[in-house]
Amino acid sequence: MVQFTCVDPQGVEHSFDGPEGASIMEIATGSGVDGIVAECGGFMSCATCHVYVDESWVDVVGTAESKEDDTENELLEGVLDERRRGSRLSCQINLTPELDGLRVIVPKIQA
Amino acid sequence: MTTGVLVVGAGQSGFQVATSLRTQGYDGRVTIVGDEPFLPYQRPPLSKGIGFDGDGSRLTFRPREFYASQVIDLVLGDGVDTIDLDGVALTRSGRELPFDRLVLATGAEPRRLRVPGADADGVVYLRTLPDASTLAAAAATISKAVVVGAGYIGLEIASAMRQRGIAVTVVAQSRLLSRTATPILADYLLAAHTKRGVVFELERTVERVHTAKGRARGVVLDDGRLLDADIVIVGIGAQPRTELAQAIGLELALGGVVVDEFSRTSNPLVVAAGDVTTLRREGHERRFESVQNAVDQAKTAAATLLGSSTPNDAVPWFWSDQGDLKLKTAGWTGGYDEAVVHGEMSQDRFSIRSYADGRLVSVESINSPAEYMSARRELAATRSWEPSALTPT
Repeated sequence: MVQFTCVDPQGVEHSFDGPEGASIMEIATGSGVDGIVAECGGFMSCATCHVYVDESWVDVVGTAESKEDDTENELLEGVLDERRRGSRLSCQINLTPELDGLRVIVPKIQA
Repeated sequence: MTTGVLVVGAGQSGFQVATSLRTQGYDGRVTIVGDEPFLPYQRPPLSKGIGFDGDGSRLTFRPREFYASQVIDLVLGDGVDTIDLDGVALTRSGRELPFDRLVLATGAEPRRLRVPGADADGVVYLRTLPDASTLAAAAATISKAVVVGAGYIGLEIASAMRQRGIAVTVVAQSRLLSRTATPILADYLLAAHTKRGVVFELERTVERVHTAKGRARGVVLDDGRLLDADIVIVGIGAQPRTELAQAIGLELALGGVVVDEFSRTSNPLVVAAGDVTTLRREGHERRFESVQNAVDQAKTAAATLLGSSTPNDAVPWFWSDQGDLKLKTAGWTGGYDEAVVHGEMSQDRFSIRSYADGRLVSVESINSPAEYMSARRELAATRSWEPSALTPT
């Protein structure tokens, strides 16, 4: 299991243990974390599961710009809340042992 | 409200109404009742890439514990049979479910092919998890498929089958996506899918399903030709499930339950959301069959039940994954008078922006998420896709 923390728009911290391979979006919506909408269900079609990866984790998780497929990066250009270096779609962050202890912040508004 | 809210239908909108009631602070009783024996799940992946690996649990919106923690009662595998508007619904198994407010979220069902032979084995529809399992199992063994209908479901399945090397012929009585897309997009998709090996028989109808030993072996077209196939997949649209609505006397239009921008039906006790509805706004009627519409009408329905009067002003949007072509649309294509293509059609990367009186009313994009997102924001700001803006003055 991989431990990670989601900070919701009210500043409440939610800690989870998720199985390797599961996405942050799946785990967080499954527990009803406020602010992650995930309308399309994880298919990179809606950009409503936007999160900010904590600055200290950005290089471990990787940025959307650095991905070969540009879809996620382009969707993030259109999100309603501020786009930051650590902006990612949480459906595209799959848990791996390297991410143990990861911390993400949920923006105030989704697309 | 004392005896609580009964949500009839456990699809996208039923699930959303129930969860929104809780997030919006309702602490009365909430019950979801649904025909299917499964926890509420996502349907869009069922037709995408024959997308699912047979593990339906990956499609459920929430695990069972979520409903327990939110105090949402689930009555699954047992549809509502009759509704007494004095406040009780009776299920097929004889269960009595009391309510003081009712949510109709019964969705839609596939329109049936009504020709001789259409009830044979091997004629399949796609709406539910078991339907998708049937199709996935068949796809592993067959070499030739006929798809009847060139809507989103038909095109998604056709491209998924093609990607697996199955020979696919799509039969449709008019053009591609005739109800929803601009002809520019339809023509592009015709060329793109043809290039990828899908064969089209357009402006043709199916006269009958050709059967052997009670099993579909192809279709006979209206020009008499026989198209051989190991399976016949039918995607000719969906029919709102309005039996209960009709039984309690709700007003219908365009085949759906009429709702306003507050998700209210013609009966003040009843709200409705999702594929079962027809939106009537400022005298215009429109039907939207989409996840976005189901979600936004459901949130509005929950708010209305709790006494809010905030209209649903969401921009309609939709997505469809057809093999390597990722289509995203927003706005409303009806009533445009000019369309402009941005990007490179030849490289499968472009957007079609449509205008009425010089104002943007819709965007249809292929593999261009950034263009799509910016047009969607523009539509949200201008609202010029709304009927009132389109009405000539």
